[in-house]
Amino acid sequence: MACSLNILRLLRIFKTSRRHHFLLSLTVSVLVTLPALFYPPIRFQQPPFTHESGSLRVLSSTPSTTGQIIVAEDFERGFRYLRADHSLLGGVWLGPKHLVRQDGDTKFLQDKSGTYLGDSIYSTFVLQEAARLQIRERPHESALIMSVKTGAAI
Amino acid sequence: MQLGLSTSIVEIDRAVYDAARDYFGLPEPAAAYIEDGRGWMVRQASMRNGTYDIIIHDCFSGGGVPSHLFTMEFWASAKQVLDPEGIVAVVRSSIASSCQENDSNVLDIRILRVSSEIALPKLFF
Repeated sequence: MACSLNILRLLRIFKTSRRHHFLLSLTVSVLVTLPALFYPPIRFQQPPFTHESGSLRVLSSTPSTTGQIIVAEDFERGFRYLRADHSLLGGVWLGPKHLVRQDGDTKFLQDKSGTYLGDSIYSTFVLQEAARLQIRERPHESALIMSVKTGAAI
Repeated sequence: MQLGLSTSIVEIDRAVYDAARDYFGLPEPAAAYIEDGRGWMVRQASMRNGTYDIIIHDCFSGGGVPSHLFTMEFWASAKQVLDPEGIVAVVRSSIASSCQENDSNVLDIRILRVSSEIALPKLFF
């Protein structure tokens, strides 16, 4: 009750003075803006972050010459992928389910943080290695890869 | 690289190469060139410093293949860079982007012509 009386009194003052009117509008705009800065409806997160659904983790996202280059992990299906804008360049399977399927004596690839990486999600990179099946006198020594993608070939 | 070959890389996008190295376990290559493939190939062909036993040509842009990496001139340069007994693996999709020849047959015919006329030692799809 006292509060509403105070507000009425304030309004009466503001009505009489242009300076106070300015102060009121300033106060209102600040009171609206400040919480909006701390609780934005859309928050821009810096990678690495996990999506709130819990099924996706973005490891890196870089704007570059061929588009936004994104490395992310899909937890539902268990793979890490590389994207340039909408285009899926490649990826590798992750997790114990996929890593046990390799031959016993092969060593798993590791990324820079030591995570074990499984097979390529695209078989085309494996297919490209069939170039090594070419029969020739001197064994293959050097190779050139044009467009590296996830680097799964050769 | 994991198979003991000395492998060089041509990649147009540095961010893709960095991502492959950091998140996909790409080993240190013999050489990495961050630039468009055509200019590199033409320059390399004119310099004649070494050849490759295997060339893997897997260039895509936005769902199609970049047509400037499928021209007769490009393949002629590629032949200079390839060992006389070498082999080329080409990945081609059905659409050549930014180009009038959006028919996969055109690319197929062109590759066939290249392998017969310019006599690339062997071609593999």
